[in-house]
Amino acid sequence: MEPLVFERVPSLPPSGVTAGLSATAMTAKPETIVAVFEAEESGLLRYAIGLVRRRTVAEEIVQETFLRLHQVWAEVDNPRAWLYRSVRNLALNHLRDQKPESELKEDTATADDHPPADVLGRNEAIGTMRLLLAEMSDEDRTLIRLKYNDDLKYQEISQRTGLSISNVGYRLHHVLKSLADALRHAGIEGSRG
Amino acid sequence: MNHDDHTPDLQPHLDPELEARIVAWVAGEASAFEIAELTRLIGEKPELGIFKRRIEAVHGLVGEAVRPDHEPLQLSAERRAKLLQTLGAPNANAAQPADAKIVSPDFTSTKKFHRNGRQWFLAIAACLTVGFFTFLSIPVYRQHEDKMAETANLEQAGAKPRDIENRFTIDQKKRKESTEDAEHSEKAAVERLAQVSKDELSASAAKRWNGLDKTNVPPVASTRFYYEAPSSPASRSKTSFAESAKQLIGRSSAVALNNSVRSGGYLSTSSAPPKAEVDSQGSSVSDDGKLVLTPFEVTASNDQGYAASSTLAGTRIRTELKDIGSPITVVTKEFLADVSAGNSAAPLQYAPRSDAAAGKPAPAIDALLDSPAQSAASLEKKSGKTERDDDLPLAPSPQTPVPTVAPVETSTAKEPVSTFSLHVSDVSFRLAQAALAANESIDPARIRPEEFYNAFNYGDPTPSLAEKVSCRIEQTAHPFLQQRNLVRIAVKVAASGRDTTQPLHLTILLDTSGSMERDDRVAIVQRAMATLVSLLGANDRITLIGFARQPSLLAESIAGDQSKQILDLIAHVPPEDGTNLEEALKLGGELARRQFEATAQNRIVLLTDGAANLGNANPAQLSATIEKLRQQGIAFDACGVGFDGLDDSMLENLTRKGDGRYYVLNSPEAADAGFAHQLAGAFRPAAENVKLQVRFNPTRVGHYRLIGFEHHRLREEDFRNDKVDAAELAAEEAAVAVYQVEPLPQGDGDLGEVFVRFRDAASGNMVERSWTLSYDPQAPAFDRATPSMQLAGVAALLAEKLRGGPVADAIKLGDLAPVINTLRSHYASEPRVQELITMFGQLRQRTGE
Repeated sequence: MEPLVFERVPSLPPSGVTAGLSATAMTAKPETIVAVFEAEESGLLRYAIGLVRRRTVAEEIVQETFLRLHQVWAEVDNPRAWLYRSVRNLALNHLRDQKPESELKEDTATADDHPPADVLGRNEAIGTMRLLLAEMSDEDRTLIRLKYNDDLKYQEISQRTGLSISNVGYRLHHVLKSLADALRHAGIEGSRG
Repeated sequence: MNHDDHTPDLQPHLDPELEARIVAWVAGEASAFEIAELTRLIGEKPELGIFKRRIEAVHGLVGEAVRPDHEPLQLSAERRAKLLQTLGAPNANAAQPADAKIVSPDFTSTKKFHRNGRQWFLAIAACLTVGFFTFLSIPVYRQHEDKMAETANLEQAGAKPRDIENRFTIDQKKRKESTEDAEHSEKAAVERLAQVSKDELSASAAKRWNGLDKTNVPPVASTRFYYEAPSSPASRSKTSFAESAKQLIGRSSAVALNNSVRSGGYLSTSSAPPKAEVDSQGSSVSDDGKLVLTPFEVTASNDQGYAASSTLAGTRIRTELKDIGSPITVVTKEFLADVSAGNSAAPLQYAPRSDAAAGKPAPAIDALLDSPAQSAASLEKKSGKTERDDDLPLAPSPQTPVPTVAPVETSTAKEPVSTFSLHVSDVSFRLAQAALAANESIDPARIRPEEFYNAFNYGDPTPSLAEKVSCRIEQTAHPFLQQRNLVRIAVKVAASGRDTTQPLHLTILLDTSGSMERDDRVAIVQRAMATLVSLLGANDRITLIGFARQPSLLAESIAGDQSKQILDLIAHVPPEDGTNLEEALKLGGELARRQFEATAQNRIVLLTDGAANLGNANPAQLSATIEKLRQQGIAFDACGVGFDGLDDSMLENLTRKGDGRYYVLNSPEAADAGFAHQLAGAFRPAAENVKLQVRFNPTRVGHYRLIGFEHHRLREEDFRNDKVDAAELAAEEAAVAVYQVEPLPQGDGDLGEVFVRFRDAASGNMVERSWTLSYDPQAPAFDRATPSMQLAGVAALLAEKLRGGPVADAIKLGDLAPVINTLRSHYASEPRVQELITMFGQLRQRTGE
């Protein structure tokens, strides 16, 4: 039933219409990979550290991810989602392959390599959230941007998008709930924060 | 992101409106009054409180995720500089498909981490190698130092160092490039050889050298000769080039080609029988201080069967295949003989890791390679123990039906990746149903399990949020096999399909042979055509061709809203003998091309009741025609009328080649809504080129087996290769795959990951998504699994039972009775499921279980 109801919600105007409201449309592909690197470096690194819990490995993963993106730059139309997904895959893979080794290295690792556990958990959660946001449909992302980046009220969002206020609420509810579900699937207990 | 009723996500189910109010509260939209009201409600229903906390957590996370980091982190300065240098450089590799492979989510090997470094290393190594040999050749030719500059030039012109490694890579683009290169160097060398031969190479070696010194004959002696032409496997066989060279050289048999490891790479001219002078160093210095090199010696003697060990490269280093940086495919002479290759493209159709000239994989071989039984056969062959026999399944025609794949599991350690084209059809199910009802025998080759479990609507969730596609994954313990689970993976495409205003250009090929005159078939055709016509609008065009012994054009380019007249036409076509599909297809193709419009859906639809029994009924020919049409943007669908005499495997194969749908109608009633839906699905695909890849985690899964899809397997690297064709899905259509996996309880991590890739028909963009295939330590027993899992399981098991073999023996139908009862009541209003249950009963009776 739910999907049907959801389908009836009128589409938001294409992102081009709302693009002028704040910075740029989140999905517009940046011009150069260097720009992407500048923009995403920190977030990706944080995410990778959150996943593998070791700074040096995280750096290696982020570097590798960008090198890979470089190879397929022309084919990737959502670099952000691609990057987060790649980092996640590489990190999980690393964890899978390196498990027996990591205990050995534990002693030799420097203090810098071991940020506190709760920071790590938070890093992972935020990174996963960024991954989910990047993979969202443009319409939903626009909604999230208006709400969270631009900090608008339902009513203002309604004016800008042409959706009714209750539709905004309904849709946002769907988006957040789906995100909560997705986080849970990714192994992140939302309520823990 | 999956609104899955069966996972305890946000259970219990709350009123969506109430949820929305709580979200508004969290988002700071609620009035004081509303907050008081909601607080009261939370007091009554604690689950609302849980929901609120969860939304609050997500709310906080989203807020944090959209803002930039407080203290931006950076890579270490060194890494950063290096990376920026690489990223800033012009992207030379971007267009190379070979490199695209790197990003395939192949994370099973950490080696890939260093791949980039390795490529640099190779390039440097190649440069060093060339430098080294240039250096080596100085003492040898010190008398001819004046020639050295020329030599170096020639080397540069003939083959750039990089190519030495690159040439071995059979990767489309590189292949092309290197072919050109190889051709250049080949041509240059041959020209020189020819010239030398013209100059009468009959004098003694000493004289020759002097002659070379004195005349302006190009310095053949120091031209490094690369014996290598990767795109043309024929020339790879050990003798062919030497032979052609000899022919060119003609009388001058004095020329010896030397390619041995130690002294190879040079052409030397000598009139003396070279063997006499060969010493242990592979070359010899004759009395007068002249150097005579060993004969040209490219040998494949180490090759066994289809397995080659070295590259046979014309360099001094005869690199071991295992030491080459990129995957390459070597086609051996025996392989060429076995596939009766007449040209260079033919063997590539069968070789793993290469795209045939047509850019299409050879599914038959893929399936073969997937099948351990067949691999075993080819292994035996490799070891040379069996002599060549003609019924080996590596038959030359790509249309040869794939032999029933032995249901053997794949070891995750060896091959963790399973890739295939998601194909939706139910024909096999319906044919089996008819055969069971008529108590006829069933050809196991006609049983395609995926067409069994894809015959049902499982009520999988339609994707809503973000994803254009959703995936639902369910598991259950295998009812008959120890330590095995059944996993159902359902992929469903969003409702936003292709723009419905896109015109449809249909070319109908209607079989008008005598057998189609049977009353029931006439009725079926009438009904089917009426359904079809009802789907057409004013912008659509329909062309009708009747065919029997000869095709005849009945109506051309009728507007969709006037297409009702076609129904009258059909009723008055006189029957004839014969079913000349080839001619019909030829005419249909011509007309479809004439009506072709790039912005329209261009399709040929075949309606027939039988096998093509006149004309060139060579399936290979037909499927080549259809493939060609598809490349021109014309898809091919087939609708079988009646079950008798239907050439099922041929039609299935043709539609697979033609990107189309295949359905059968056995009664006029079948041409109803379901048929219309299938037609609509075929005509307005929402997702094209739908591929699914499951990457199993070797530390958690011991073995796995994809049940069905034997004809649709793809190579791992084809997943990201959008040129490799795959199936289409309509809006809101679900496609299901069922795996049998062996989870390792002592293992570690998830079962694996599911990747789906397709072209979104609405936007034309490629979409790729992945989901985690999580490990469930307590997968429910089969009789307690979800009804949809049970349904898919029963359908798959039934297909396997009908197909026979060792798995079938393990399946005890009687034990499934409780599950069947559950299904009977749960799907009481689903006629399809009831039909399955009837089939189950009939089979049970037949087998006496």
